[in-house]
Amino acid sequence: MTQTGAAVVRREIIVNAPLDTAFTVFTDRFGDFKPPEHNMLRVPIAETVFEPKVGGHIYDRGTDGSECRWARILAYDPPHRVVFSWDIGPTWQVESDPDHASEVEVTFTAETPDRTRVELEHRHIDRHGPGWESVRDGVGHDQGWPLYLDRYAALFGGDS
Amino acid sequence: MQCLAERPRSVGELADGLPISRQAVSQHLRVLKDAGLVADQAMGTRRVYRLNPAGVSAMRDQLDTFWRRALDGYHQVIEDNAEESP
Repeated sequence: MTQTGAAVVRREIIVNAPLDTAFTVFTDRFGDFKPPEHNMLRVPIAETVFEPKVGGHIYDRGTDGSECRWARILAYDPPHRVVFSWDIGPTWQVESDPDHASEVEVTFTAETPDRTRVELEHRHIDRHGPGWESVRDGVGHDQGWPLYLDRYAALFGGDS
Repeated sequence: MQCLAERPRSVGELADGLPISRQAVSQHLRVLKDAGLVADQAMGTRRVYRLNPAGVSAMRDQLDTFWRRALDGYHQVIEDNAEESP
């Protein structure tokens, strides 16, 4: 794998929903499907807000009212495309320097009137720079991503 | 390691910020380098140490997992949505 390849994550999924619905669910209900471990607040998340405009943020609001803004909306073109920054460093702390943030682009394409292809690209991961060793130490072993992969695989019984 | 996590630094810079001698810093760096945790690079007359860039792939793996799970959750929400309002 090349270094460039290593700095990008690409995923795609086809969902049984019209284009508009696919886009709206992704942005309005982001907090409903975001993996729950993803929480940088000291308290449980009450809601995740995706502000639908360029210059807006994605932020988590905790049960005590505290907030954590962890993404900036860079492009918002409903129902086709959204781009946001990923202001989260390798150790799951908020990255305040935009030069050290990666970005996520999500595009929505109608396959049929009832089916939508959602393509996600998380790029410039190398911008986060060093600090990764704690990632490896923190989540790379038994309880980390290999566990998630197993869980994920288990979810896909007969689905697709 | 914490110092290097902020940005690449030379031995002198590292020693300035630590309560140990330059020589001791060099020894630590040699161990870390042997372990593959840091890499060094000559920059002019200085030798600059940084964390090994292979770590990018560790972060990539983590994000890959994050998005797998998120998109799976998204798929589920879409399906639930369709059942609630056909």
